[in-house]
Amino acid sequence: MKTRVGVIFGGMSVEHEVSVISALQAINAMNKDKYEVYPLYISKDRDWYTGENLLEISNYQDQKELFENAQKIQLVRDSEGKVHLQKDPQPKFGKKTVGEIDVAFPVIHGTYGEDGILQGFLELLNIPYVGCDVLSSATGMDKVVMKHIFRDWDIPILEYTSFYSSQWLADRDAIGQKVEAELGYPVIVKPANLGSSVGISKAANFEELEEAVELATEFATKIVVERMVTNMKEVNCSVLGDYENAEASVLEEVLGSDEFLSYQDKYQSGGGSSKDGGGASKGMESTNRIIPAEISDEQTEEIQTIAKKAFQVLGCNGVSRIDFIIDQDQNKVYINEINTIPGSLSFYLWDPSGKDFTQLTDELVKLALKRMREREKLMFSIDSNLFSSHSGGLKGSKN
Amino acid sequence: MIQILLIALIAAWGLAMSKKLMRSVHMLQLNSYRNERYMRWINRNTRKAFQVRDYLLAIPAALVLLGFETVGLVLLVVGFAALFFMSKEEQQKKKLVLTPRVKRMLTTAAIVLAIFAAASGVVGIVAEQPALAAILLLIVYVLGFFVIIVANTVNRPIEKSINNKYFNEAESMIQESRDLNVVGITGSYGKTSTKHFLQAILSSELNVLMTPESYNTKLGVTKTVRGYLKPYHDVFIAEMGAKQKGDIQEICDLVHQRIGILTSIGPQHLETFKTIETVQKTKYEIIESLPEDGLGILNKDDENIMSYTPKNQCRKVYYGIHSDDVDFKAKDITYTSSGMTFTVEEKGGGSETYTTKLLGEHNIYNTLAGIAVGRELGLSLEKMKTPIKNMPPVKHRLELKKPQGNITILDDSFNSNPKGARMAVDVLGQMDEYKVLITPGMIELGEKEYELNKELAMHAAGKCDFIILVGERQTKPLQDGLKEAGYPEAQTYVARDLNDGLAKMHELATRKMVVLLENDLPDNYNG
Repeated sequence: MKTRVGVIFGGMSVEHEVSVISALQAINAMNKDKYEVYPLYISKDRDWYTGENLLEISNYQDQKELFENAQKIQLVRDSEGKVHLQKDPQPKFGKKTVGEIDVAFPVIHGTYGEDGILQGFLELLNIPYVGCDVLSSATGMDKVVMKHIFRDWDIPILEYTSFYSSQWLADRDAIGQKVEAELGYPVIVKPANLGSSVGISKAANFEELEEAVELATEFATKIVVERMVTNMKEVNCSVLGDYENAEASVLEEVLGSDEFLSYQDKYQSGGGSSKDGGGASKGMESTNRIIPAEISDEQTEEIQTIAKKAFQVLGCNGVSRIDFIIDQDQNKVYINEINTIPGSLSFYLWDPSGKDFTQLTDELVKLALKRMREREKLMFSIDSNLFSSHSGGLKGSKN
Repeated sequence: MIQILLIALIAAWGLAMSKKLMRSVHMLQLNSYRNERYMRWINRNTRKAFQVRDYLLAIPAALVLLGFETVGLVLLVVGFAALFFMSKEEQQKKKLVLTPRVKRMLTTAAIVLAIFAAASGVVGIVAEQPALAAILLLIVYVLGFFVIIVANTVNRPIEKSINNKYFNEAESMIQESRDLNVVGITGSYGKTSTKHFLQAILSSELNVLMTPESYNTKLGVTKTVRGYLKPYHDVFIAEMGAKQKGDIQEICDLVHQRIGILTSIGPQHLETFKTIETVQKTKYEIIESLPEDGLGILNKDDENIMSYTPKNQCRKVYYGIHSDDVDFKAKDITYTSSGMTFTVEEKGGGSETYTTKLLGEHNIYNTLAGIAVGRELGLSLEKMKTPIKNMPPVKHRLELKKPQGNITILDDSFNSNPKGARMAVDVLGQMDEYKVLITPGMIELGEKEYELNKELAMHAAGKCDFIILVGERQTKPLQDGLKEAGYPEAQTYVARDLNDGLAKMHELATRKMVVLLENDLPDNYNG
């Protein structure tokens, strides 16, 4: 018997396409002697599909044809607790399910996939799943909440301020003064809850701040403004493990074409001509990066230590990528953000760390199973029915 | 008129009969669907199977026979209807579970009853012999507890073929899991706790499936495998229960365990086993069916285990507390208010000190068996410290419950035995508080039953401040034992049933007390 793994990807996020690439890379890497993999693709319209044709990147060019050749499904839990891929709609005759899965493997970046929402659904299905749980996913996604926790744990973060778009509309001057007084220009303006670099821009003065906030509010109601490090180096570190054991990967240094990594840099560099899916995939790898990052051993170790601490403080599980900013003027390290489902699952950082992608996916599944069996030991409900334990008990209660 | 009355009679009879049928199928289920054990139950509970009020219906039947047809039939209709509406549901510890098998059996029984109903209809209405019809219905009703035996027998071939299909499926599922380690556990006592401990220890590192609560038959193991075995499981722990010879062998043939644990051999279920030698042979099936590269794990402190020589030559590992030259030995056992601490020495290896919330030497044995398997599967002695510390007490097995007011319950109510009962009483004896024992005594011990119960009472007399015996008749041996030990009568209470016993306990609870609930209290034995 092979363990049946449903790799969930696509989703309702600006990083939909990136997710497809990451997922197909992961599926490709998984040990097929041990795992039987079901691709579970969530379309931008929230429909779920499975099928062989979803494994081929070139099939994604024509969405209509893609959906026609795939089987629309829903994940359902039966009375015995098994999770089936049930055909949607259910046929009146013949087999109602396409298969059954033992483990879920979410590879969705950004909203609805990386932020705890999908994880909550999987929790209700009571199926072991790879990666962060609901709380750590949600915390990792909201830059403000994340900063609060990091600050509490003395993990270095850049000075920032945050506000809602309604507050901005009500009194932008006050916010502008606060930004200038507390952070000083230039600053970076970000939507609080997006995983990618979409909606992020810099502002060197109030006019630019207005523009940047306008852009960010298109993506989120909660906005973060951070001090911008002008002479900076961007370094990423991946962490693999859980609350008990975590290891850090080698570091990568990201070479942005602009002062910071924009969405284009991150996922579309060289991808202007990526009409064919393969191009997008290459684009992913060809982002300018140096591995390992060209920084001192001391600083590397410092970053790895902070990365592991951040990972465990948030209660992460599986593989995350933690992005750092080094202020080269002060030679200081700051956490920028955490990606709880990083692009390509950061396999390119683990490969040079001595773990190939196949091993990485295997460890991720094992971590998922570990969390499940630890959770099964905890008590979630009380066996006895309080309504029936005492005769007349209801009468005795206050009403 | 007579015809209408006869139809009404058949209807009322059907209602009363259906109630009886449900009760009888429940008892059959409690007796593992085995006709012979069910018959034994009937023998022991004749007053339940054949109630006096059933015979009362012979009076109106006689009236019908004597020619007072209308009056007789009306009385019969009223009588059956009364039996249906008035008979109360008894308090039941283990409720009837409507499994597909029970449903199939009820269907067959319903058909059998329908045939009788039709026959009596033909006799009474077509052949115009209402008296015969009434007597036929009455006889079937009085013998109602046997109807389910007929249904059970008729259904046997069907059940067999259904089960065989399941068995084969389960066996191939296990064999297709190449990396799965199958561990079998049996023993007269301690197998359930050992199963839980082993699961707790192993699951710190491995994905473990174990048979749930009392799924310790071939069918139970099959259900577990078919329902819950996942491809990613590293270990499958199968508890194997035996009530007669061959019971263990048939589970072994299904799961093909590589590791077999034998926790103890004692005089349990002697009613079917007859002799301790048969128990030995049966329990040793788990060791003798091991493959050459298999591993037997045995309790060296158990004389009945050691007095038998297994016929096969696979590797064996022994554990114990009192024996020397064992592979895993526990020593330096100390009790504290939070549980107990002991040190385990591995032969030719290290040693480690463990703390647990559990009480009693028997729990050390169970833990030792778990540690032996853990070592075999590559866990270090040190790694097992945390899971052992966190091991929850097994429900109803010397389970120290949270205090409620003055009362702390030490619950050992699940299927107990002489050794276990003695140990539980010993643990109770070590408590600082006022010590109360509540027990209905032990059953299914064969000819030694009287003696063993008496011994338990005499032992308890020296340890307890108050003893509540549940059931006047069946605790006679205990009462005799207490008398012989000179235990003050003022410190004894013989309760009608468990509820009465618990009421007495609450009455006594004017000070801090620990109450040991000892032995099984199922509803089919509280006579």
